[in-house]
Amino acid sequence: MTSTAPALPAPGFDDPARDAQRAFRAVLDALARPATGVPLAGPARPPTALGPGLAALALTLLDTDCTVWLGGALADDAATTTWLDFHTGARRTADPAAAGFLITPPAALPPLEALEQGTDEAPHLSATVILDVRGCAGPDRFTASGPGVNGTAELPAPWATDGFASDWARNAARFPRGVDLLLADAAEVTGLPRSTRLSPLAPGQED
Amino acid sequence: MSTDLTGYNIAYLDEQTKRMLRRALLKAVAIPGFQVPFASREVPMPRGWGTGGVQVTAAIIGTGDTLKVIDQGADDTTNAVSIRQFFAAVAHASTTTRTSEATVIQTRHRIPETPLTEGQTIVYQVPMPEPLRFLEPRETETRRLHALADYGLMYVKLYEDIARYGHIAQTYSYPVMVAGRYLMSPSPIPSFDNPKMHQSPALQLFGAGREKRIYAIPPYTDVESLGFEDYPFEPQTFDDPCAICGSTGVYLDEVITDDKGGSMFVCSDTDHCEHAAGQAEVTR
Repeated sequence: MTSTAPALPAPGFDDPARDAQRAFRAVLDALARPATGVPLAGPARPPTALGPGLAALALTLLDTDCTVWLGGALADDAATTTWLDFHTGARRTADPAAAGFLITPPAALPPLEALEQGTDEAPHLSATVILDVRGCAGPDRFTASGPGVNGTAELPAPWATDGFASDWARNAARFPRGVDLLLADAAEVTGLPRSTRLSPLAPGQED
Repeated sequence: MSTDLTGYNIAYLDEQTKRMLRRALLKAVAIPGFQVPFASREVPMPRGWGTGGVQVTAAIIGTGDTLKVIDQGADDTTNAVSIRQFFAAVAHASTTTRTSEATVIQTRHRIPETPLTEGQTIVYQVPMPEPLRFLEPRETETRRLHALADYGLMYVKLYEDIARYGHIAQTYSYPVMVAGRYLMSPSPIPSFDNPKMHQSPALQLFGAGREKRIYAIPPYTDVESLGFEDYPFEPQTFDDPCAICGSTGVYLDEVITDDKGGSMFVCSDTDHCEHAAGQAEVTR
């Protein structure tokens, strides 16, 4: 063990079974009702780099059956990697194309077509991206439609990077293959399944 | 029944199994109508009695939930009562028979008459998830047919019904197209209930324990029952009202009343019938 690694990882959920159930229902709700923020409660003392929201998703979804790719500063954050290894046992990979789950800030997200898409016969084997949207301040907004959305819904997307809209349109066009997004900040999760269509809304334009 | 079952995890299944189920459920919701394989576990009931539904319910239910379980519309049948007691014991969930009070409804072969609302989740017990199975027995082939969205076989089957009987003769498990892409079995609900699935505000989850498949329909999703322009889908209808509560426009079961061929038709949804009979009593 190097001297920079923390001796003991921070604790996970206080009540693993009940807290994971509550967090899962938030995620299920978020994916079933795309573009709607759902409150999400995380562990009390998560690694700082993850924050409670992302930590809750990791504890709820990941285990030894999963591979995870960490983007940006997360990959080099010893507190995060030790914590993930200890609590989830998920295999970490350096290759985003080989990961079932990706936890990353928007800036480090690879193009969606570079990720696991599943196959036409097994589209469920595609990647799930957990996007860290804390502190994002972009101007983009979208109109969302598709299964789970009652008509259309407006989706503020401060996390959207240049080219995200076209990247997402290509992802949606690959349906039933494609990547699913979970947008998580400290206390809320929003789902963006591959079935959701987004059309850009100019700044100031009303829905 | 004791509410403290030492040795069992909350909601019966172990946490790793729940995570496996939960990951399958998320992908099922993301691909409406697609059957996601999962590692079906043993639960304390025989396969064919709703083990898929029980596993899905176990993966989602928490102490904050109120569970309703129906078997062919009835809250008071053995299987429904057992499953309700099971989750009250292992998940410490509240239970109810009122559709409007439930947050999670596990069902075998019916959708309640009371319209479902946002925030409710309905879990279907599914014996045979593959709508094409009786037309194409090979799993490798049906997977490919779904991949290619090649559903000609099903249309031929419906056409043959029309050629032979003059109408589409499927009255339950009537195939639907979900979000314009996947052909899906609605489980053996009567075709009477099919229209309730279309654009439902509730989340619909399907679990097939023996066949090891989970699928889902998110809220506000198009669910189209198959038909032809000249022979469109026609749900079952009933001419007479319920003999107990007088409701019309509901699904009725025939109940034999004597050994001389006498029978009456009553609501299949016991909660709806009780409520409607109570209302009728008040107005009288």
